Amino acid sequence: MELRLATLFHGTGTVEAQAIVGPPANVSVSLGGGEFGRGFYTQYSERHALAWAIRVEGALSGPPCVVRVDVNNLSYATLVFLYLNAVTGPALTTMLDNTNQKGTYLDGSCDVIEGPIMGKATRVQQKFESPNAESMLNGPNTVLSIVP
Amino acid sequence: MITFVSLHETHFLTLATVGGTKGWIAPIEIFRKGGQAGTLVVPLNPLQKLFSAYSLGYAICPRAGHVTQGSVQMDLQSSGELKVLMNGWSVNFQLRIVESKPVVGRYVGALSHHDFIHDLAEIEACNESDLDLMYEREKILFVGCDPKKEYGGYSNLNFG
Repeated sequence: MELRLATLFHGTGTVEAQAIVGPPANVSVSLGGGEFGRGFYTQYSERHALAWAIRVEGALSGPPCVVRVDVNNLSYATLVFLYLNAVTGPALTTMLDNTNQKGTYLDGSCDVIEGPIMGKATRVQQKFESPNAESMLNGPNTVLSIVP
Repeated sequence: MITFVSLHETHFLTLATVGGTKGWIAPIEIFRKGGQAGTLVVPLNPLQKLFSAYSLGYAICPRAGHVTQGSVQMDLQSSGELKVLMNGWSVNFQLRIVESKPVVGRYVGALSHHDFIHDLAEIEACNESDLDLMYEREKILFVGCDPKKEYGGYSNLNFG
């Protein structure tokens, strides 16, 4: 049996989704800019990922959709995580806003920052930021697909 | 004389600090080839209470890339919760409370809407699993109002 640790979702447009899924897979951590800075963002909720894509549709190429990211547990476990909580997450976001770094900021010491969306502990997001994380997402131990 | 009053909207906004002021802004205003997640927020009356009714935008997505949008009315109940009925589903929303206070802020973006003169408060489903079930079974999700249709200044946005 193939064991999976994480099933993650990334909201986007259908053109971007096709480019991400490939083949070849083409996740880029050098784009994007959310609460934790520059990187490739995912979350555990398919529904929330799609809602976001619908409400930013005007900035996307093609209709909104969701990319599903299934990560092999052994591969995922090799990544270095920085975990933020309901206090440290929003604090980082405010700092990035005040210094205009949301589109550029990298922690630099981790592969992934995981923390709450707008400080809400029940909604968790991941920001993949390192070349190592990008390689894993584009590699054979990750399955990328467009949610039908 | 009959006067038609449009309902207050439920908005899909995110928190950000703009010009030193933390508040609500539309995710599409700060889109950077990806971006920041949003949540549902509603305007409060001058007494910082919920209005009696709101329009709530929804989307039905039967398959990838196919989205039908509409809106339903969400009514304030005596319990203080907001109730919406749709397709046989009944879902209640409540103000999100953090450290004993609702999450309230002003709109700090560059778009315009008549609700943006009010304080805006985040709402959440009383039972999040209701929304998960609606999505799982019927691909229905609540997304708030459409910024392209409802917000002034949308055409000035530059997505880089």
